[in-house]
Amino acid sequence: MTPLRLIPIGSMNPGVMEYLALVLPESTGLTCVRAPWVINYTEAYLNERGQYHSTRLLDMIQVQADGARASGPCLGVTELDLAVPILTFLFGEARLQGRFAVVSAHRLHQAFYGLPGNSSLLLNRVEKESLHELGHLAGLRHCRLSSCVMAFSTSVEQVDLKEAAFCDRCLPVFEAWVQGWQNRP
Amino acid sequence: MTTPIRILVVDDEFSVRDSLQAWFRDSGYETEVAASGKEALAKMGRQRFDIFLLDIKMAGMDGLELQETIKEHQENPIIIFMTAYASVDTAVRALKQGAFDYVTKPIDPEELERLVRNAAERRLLQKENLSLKVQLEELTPFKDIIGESQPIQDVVELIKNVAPTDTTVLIRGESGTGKELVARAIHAASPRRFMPFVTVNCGALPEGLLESELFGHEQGAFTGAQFRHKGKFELADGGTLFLDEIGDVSLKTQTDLLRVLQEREITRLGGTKPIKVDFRLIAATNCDLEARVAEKSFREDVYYRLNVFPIVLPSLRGRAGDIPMLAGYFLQKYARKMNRPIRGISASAMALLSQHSWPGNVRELENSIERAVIFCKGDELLPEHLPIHRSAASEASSGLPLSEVEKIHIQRVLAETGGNISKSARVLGIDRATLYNKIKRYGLFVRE
Ligand SMILES: Nc1ncnc2c1ncn2[C@@H]1O[C@H](COP(=O)(O)OP(=O)(O)O)[C@@H](O)[C@H]1O
Ligand SMILES: [Mg+2]
Ligand SMILES: [Zn+2]
Ligand SMILES: [Zn+2]
Repeated sequence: MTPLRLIPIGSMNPGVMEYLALVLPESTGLTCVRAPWVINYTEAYLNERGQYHSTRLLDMIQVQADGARASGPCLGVTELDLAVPILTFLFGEARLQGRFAVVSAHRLHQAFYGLPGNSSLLLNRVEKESLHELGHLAGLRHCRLSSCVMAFSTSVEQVDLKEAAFCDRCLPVFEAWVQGWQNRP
Repeated sequence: MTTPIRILVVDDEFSVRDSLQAWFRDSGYETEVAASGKEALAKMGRQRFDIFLLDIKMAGMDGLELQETIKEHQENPIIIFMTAYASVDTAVRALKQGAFDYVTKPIDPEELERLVRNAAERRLLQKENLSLKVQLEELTPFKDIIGESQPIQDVVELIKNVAPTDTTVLIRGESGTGKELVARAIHAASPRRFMPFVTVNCGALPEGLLESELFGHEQGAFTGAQFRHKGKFELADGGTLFLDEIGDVSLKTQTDLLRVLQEREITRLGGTKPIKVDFRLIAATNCDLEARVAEKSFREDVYYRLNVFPIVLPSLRGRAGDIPMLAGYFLQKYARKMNRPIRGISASAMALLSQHSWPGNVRELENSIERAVIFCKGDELLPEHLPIHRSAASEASSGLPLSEVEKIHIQRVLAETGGNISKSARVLGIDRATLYNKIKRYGLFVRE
């Protein structure tokens, strides 16, 4: 089975990585391994914005994956604040039907909104956004059901409305994608 | 399905075209890009677009000129301008010349999403597109409500009648009888189904956080409020707001609620301008509201605003005939979810299920079956897999502090599920992140 690789980018709360490594295999059916790749994220820094260019991070993950001859899906996980020049921020980015995705916890913390910290809520949000980006890798687009993990969210409040699961329509597509990787050596 | 909305993005910067194309594509719009007015016109010669997203400042033909040319080619084009802060004046001029709206660069994703959604809706109206209606009819919102007994069929009938309206619904019933399930079914069968269904568990809201949770706050409303936060009322805009455990709210909160229900507008904490909110209200409770009104712990005016269309859910005892069907349904659901080849429920196990009084109603039955599926190693559920049989699992736990009991219990469930977080969390009735945090707190094992 080809595993899903989790790549911490920058300094990452070990609890978040550990949690993802524990639950993603259960919720996706893919095995997960942590890839100790060094992503030189400072090269993705957007000077005037104080944020990081997420598309460039995807390119960097790809370079590392190619170097390591890793053929499976790769998910970067970071605390960095992600953006692209035209958009003020992103929770994550993925190449539709590609292999590379990145998700950021930066704006998923309650503290970012001036609210008391809540680590369970944070983990739930990171998990949902991770599944969402993996869904894009599987070729899924945004779902109109606000409870489906593929619903589009531009705010944490919308993230909280979603479940950490695909709806009946999205699930078969995702499962087929997972099976594709399970059947690979 | 009918043709999707087609967007043309015109900008001379590659990174803008690239990012926005990917962004719209993920949302299911068909998107083309052009690096100049000339290229845009060439693309328009080959296909029609519904929405145009134009950069104002471009070398050669700028956005305003392009707008004029597009209008010559096509009737009622929907044009959105992208502009730097410095050229907002120009954008305002564009609006006067008939543009749909403008956004400033860099674009707030939430604003872009709203704008494009509004534009798409306007377009669909123009085309009198029926795709939405078609999609609605594909859904079968009542198939999740299991039961053939008269009491539950009566409930389904009520739901069917009230769903298409905007009427406030009050759902009564014991805990676990399916109040939230029914609320979701009403939403799913209503014209609001593709807008959010927002749940507020009024019983669980800590008084201090309540206001910010319900009403949201503006940036800088209090120390630490670096960013604005949307409240649940706002989040439910266009959709359905489900106020669960409504009987538990304090008088102070009832007063706040009443105002929102009357005015249908809210003001964020630290904010000044009221925001209109449009939601369909569904409330639920398992307490005797009439008694609360009599003893003055529940406001009568709030009660009348809620009790417009009451639906009373039967207890599981009151429809015991549905137990085999429900048990079979949950067995199938969890056997499939956990990949277990379980064929059925043995006659003696079914007898046990049918005799039980189910004080926790359908939720208790569902949990029992789920748990049984986890523990069942064979191809048939037997009485010994059922928790109603294996009572008093905590023989030795009396006299221990609560946290110690919790720790021991979690440890036992983890051992029983082979360390599976998802299964353990389901058995324990908590979410996985909460379980993970408890595992950490108690220093229990973590499988790698
Ligand atoms: N008629 C029913 N058919 C199938 N499942 C049901 C039914 N009624 C309740 N359930 C299930 O039982 C559980 C508890 O229901 P819920 O709506 O949360 O109850 P309540 O809000 O009244 O406490 C849910 O998982 C729900 O799906
Ligand atoms: Mg409930
Ligand atoms: Zn997405
Ligand atoms: Zn979906």
